[in-house]
Amino acid sequence: MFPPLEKCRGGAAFLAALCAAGAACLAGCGSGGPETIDRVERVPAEERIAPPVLKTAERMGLAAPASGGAAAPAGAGTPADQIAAGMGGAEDRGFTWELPEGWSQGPDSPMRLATFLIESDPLAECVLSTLHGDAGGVEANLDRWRSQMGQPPLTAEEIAALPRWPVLGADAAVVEAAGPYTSMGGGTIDDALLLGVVCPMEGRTFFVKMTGTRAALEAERERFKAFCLSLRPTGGLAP
Amino acid sequence: MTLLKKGFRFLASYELSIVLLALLLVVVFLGTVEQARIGLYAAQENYFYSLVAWFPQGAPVAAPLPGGYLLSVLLCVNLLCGGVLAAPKRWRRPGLLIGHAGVLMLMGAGFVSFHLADEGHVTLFEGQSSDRMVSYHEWQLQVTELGPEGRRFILPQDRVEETPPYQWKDFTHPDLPFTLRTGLFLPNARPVMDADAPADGVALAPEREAASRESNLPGITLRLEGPGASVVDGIVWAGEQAPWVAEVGGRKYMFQLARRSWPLPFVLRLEKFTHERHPGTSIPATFSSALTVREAGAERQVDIRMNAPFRHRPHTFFQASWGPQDAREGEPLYSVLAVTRNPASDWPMHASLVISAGLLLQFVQALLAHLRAEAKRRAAP
Repeated sequence: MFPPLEKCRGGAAFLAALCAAGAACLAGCGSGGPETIDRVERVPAEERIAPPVLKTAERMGLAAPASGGAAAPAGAGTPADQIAAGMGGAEDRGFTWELPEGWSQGPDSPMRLATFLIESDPLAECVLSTLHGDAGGVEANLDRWRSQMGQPPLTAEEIAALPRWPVLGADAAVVEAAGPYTSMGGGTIDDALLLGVVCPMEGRTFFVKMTGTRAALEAERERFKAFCLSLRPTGGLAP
Repeated sequence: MTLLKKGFRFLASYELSIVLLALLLVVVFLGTVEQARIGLYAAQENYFYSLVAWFPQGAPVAAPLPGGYLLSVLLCVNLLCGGVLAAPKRWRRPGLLIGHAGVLMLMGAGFVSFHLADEGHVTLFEGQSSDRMVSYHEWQLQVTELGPEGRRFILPQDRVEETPPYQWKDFTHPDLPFTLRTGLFLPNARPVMDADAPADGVALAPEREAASRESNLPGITLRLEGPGASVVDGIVWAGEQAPWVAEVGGRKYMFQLARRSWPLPFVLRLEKFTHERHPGTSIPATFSSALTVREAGAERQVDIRMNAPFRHRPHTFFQASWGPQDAREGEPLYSVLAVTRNPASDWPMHASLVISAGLLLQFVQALLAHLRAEAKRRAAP
């Protein structure tokens, strides 16, 4: 395959150049000083969410329950496991509800108490979730949801004018937004509707959020309300 | 120069080629066998992407072997020295030279792919759209400005994962009012209460890495040094319930670890996903995705099926899988499209053409020379 080396001219010179280039590369490596962040992206309006401001332990799922109990022991698993443990296990989600016609319970998912699927719309889902404390406040969460629909934040007057439903014994604000929906996972629905309820309670905040295509969810409004009003605590989540 | 000449002679030698190819054979064999025990990505990292491979990996006593990366580089240098530089420049018989150049091009394609190619997926339910591909197992540290400007500053995992223990790596940007210091990056971690930890008494503890790399939940310690020597400590973890929000210089920023993602130059919308199983079994027979590609205001329809990818240079989309696997009849399904973005995706084809042309030229010239010699021999009295 290879010819006799005697016929090669300049091979040694090539090798010397290769060594010099390698040495130059090594000399260039490891220089101190801060590095520059060179990738900057514009966040689309619908993704400009205002997340709840939580303490580190709350963010990590290690925060003591509202009763002030001890933190989860080391090795307790993921935050989802810890939430489930705090609720008395997967079977006892801390609530009962009346499932509207055409709804079915979906598979369990981390960070959610329950997920419901809507028969009339394969993209629709209704999610029940909770966070410790005020989860950043009712306004921040309403605006976060609206931002997912490409909608601007509400003014204080608009928030005060929102309809209220008696959910889980609290006066819960109800928000409705239409537009292009972008979920936290990055999925999108071009013409979507969001119906949401933020329910602040002592030591924690509950959320009921339904998203899907606008055409289908327009017909689900009354069922969504009936579902929210049917929620009852069983004690598993009681502070 | 004598030493350099000797060095060049060694690098260009047949003997080195044989030893390197034999070692490559051993490393490929061991890496393939070990893949079943330690997982695909761990095997790739240890045996194929490394300078030194350890066999068996993770054992208390392991033997060092030259890694696949080192062997490939040495083989490339060997080929360059012996097959091109030292080759006789007989321009009337250029076939072998062209063939060797093609092989070098093929190895160059591998080098470029290794360093510059990205792999990920786009997962869509019917009716959903996306203009991003998401990595299966790589992460990125995101700093998002909470405000009307809505900018996101991104550091990919490979820039923050090399910080040694108890040291900081500093990052700045002219528009950020703080220096972002990244501490130890843990590929798989869990949060634990630690009264001495500066981040609200919470620290990250390392976990053994999962054989399936997608299952790991990495975490990293951060420190923000703002105006007036103010210091804010925090941690971010891939499994956290909410991102870290910190206020520096009167502005709020959100920090989080997210799956690494790259923008696509077009929008993909899944119109319909179809799958069929072999009759009476749950074994998939065929599955396909009908998509609309929206680019620069124009739309076109494409179908991606098993073994029939959609190519949009430098991206290639393959029908990889779907889910949920336990979905009942009529329940919504999602389609998973595996995506590779490789600037050298066409190089192997071009290299193959170059090699073929070189060999063809060589063989045709050899054949003609033989025929001429035969004719002369027959014509001779």
